[in-house]
Amino acid sequence: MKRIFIILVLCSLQGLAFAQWDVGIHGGLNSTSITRSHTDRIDETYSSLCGYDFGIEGRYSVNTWLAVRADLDIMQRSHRLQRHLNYISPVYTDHRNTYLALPVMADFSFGGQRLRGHFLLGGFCGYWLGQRVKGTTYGMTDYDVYFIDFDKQRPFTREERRFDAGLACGMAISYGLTSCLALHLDALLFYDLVSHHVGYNHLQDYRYLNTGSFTLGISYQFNKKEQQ
Amino acid sequence: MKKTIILTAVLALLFGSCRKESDYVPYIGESHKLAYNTYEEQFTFLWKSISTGYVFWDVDTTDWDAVYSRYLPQFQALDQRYAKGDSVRNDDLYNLYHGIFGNMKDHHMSVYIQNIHPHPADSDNIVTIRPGREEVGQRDYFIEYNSSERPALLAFLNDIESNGYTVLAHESGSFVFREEAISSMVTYHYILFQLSDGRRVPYLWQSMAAFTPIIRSLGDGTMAGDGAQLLDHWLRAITDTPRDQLAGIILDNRCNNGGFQDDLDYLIGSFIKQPVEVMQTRYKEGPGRLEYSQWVPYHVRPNKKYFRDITAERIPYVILCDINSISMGEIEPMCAKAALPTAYTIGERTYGANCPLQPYTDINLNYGGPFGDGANLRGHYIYTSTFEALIGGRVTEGIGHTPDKIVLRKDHNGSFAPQLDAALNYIANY
Repeated sequence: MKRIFIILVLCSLQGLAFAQWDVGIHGGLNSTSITRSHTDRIDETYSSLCGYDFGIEGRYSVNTWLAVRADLDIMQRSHRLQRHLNYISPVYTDHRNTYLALPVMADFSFGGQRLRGHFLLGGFCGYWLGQRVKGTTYGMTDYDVYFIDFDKQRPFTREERRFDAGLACGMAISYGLTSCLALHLDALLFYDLVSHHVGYNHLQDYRYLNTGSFTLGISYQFNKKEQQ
Repeated sequence: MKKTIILTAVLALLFGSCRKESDYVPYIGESHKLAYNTYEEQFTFLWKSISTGYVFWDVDTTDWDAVYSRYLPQFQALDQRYAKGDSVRNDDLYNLYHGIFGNMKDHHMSVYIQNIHPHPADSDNIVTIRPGREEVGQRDYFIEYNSSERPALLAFLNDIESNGYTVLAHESGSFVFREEAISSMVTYHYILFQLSDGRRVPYLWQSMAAFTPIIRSLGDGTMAGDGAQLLDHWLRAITDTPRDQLAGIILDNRCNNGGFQDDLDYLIGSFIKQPVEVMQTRYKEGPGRLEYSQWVPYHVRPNKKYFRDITAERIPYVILCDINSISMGEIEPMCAKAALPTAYTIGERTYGANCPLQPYTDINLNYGGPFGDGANLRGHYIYTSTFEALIGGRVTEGIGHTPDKIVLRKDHNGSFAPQLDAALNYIANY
């Protein structure tokens, strides 16, 4: 798995040597929800949480309206499990999942020289780097329920698939600050198509993350003069 | 813009359809699943419920997926047999479910399966499998199960004075108590032994772990209150006897089939100044087999009414246990070892039902533990641990507690005396 990532990263960076490239950095926030079966766990709800999102990007312009963009992001894709039963309503778990994501998207742009709109469509693959859990859980005595707060790294189990892939798409606006520098505001959706729960032969329990990412970035175009 | 929105919606639908639908996972507490039409339906429900709710999947090596592949066709064959007009004998059902549950790790586990189409020749319609009980029966030091052994132990204790021991006080009795509308009975023997050097050893045998509900009745005039007086005498003998006259303490958990976890607050809490973590527990936080909650520490709380600092005074606390010490009967010596430096255990490796459980009525709370019809055994009732526990840093389910000094009754013609003698000798020479 690691080899595939290294190859993909190298491929995405290879074009830096060519003149048609933009490179940049971006950072921002995202909101992630989980799509999963409730499996009749009657008092549990799952909700979205915010996370961070930052990375680098490369963009190869084919012509004035079409480019190919590849990012390398560190994304925190987080969601919450909350219980509601009377006795244990304080119980919740925030799952803070850190992913390395490599979205590759077609970038259809339109507009003027400085202010341009972008429509992005493609896919991503990723790797689940780590998971941190924070929340409140409970223990029981014969007569009482008591609560304990926790905040710790959670080791992976064989039920968890760390490879991730899915659809990446969204919108962006870019604004040229100079002939070489541009700001851009991206709104991207990362839509998992690979379940992060492995499941069992006779009992599949698919779980997918959905992340809406909002980032602000700045990019540098190497050969603006030549292109002009 | 409109085209973009339409395109996005189309793409979302397109890619959305690439996501797969999860299999149906039944709610483990579904009451309507207590009535089945087919053996296949019954097996499938139980298989899924154990897959999601069983707490030992990290240590139990049963290949649960292979169980499904192997046994589903056999239950379908039973349904076909019934459809052709043949009833299904309990033995047929037992053989299948014994193959499924017979080697599972959980030593609390009792599986009650209703034969939905019983044969007239069978006296009842319930098939029972107890994997832990079977494993214990195969151990080379096994003599007999609890129900057969206890009368012999009681006879030994009743005649303790005539067995050559010096006894300064001896109280015993059976006491009824009620918890959540259920009546139970516990039997105690409090004996104050005297060693040859004149020092004293307060001794308590308890048939189950019911210290908490009994001692709460102290002075209320009920039968449980009478039991509380006996326990009070044992504790007072420990706390009030001058150090030079107190040689040590014995708690006898042989043939103790378990009970209340809060008893630790008396049996250990009476000897600690600060709360002490003695174990950690976790439950199933999701339907995945390895989807656990965080480990939650369980602390024994100091007892304010009865207290003696046996660690500072270096007073030995010996706990007797045997193969019929079950559940709290064995958790108590394990936790005592974890909390008290002067605790020492003598006897046999215990039963191995080491993880706590809650009533089946709490299934909504834990999504694991006992489930089904615990009251009438309709459809199914699976009695299984609610929590997985770490005691002494490891999961000892199915293993039990190995005492510091092993004295096997099997090596002494089944006599209960050598284990007690070993305890008194240890204390005398401490």
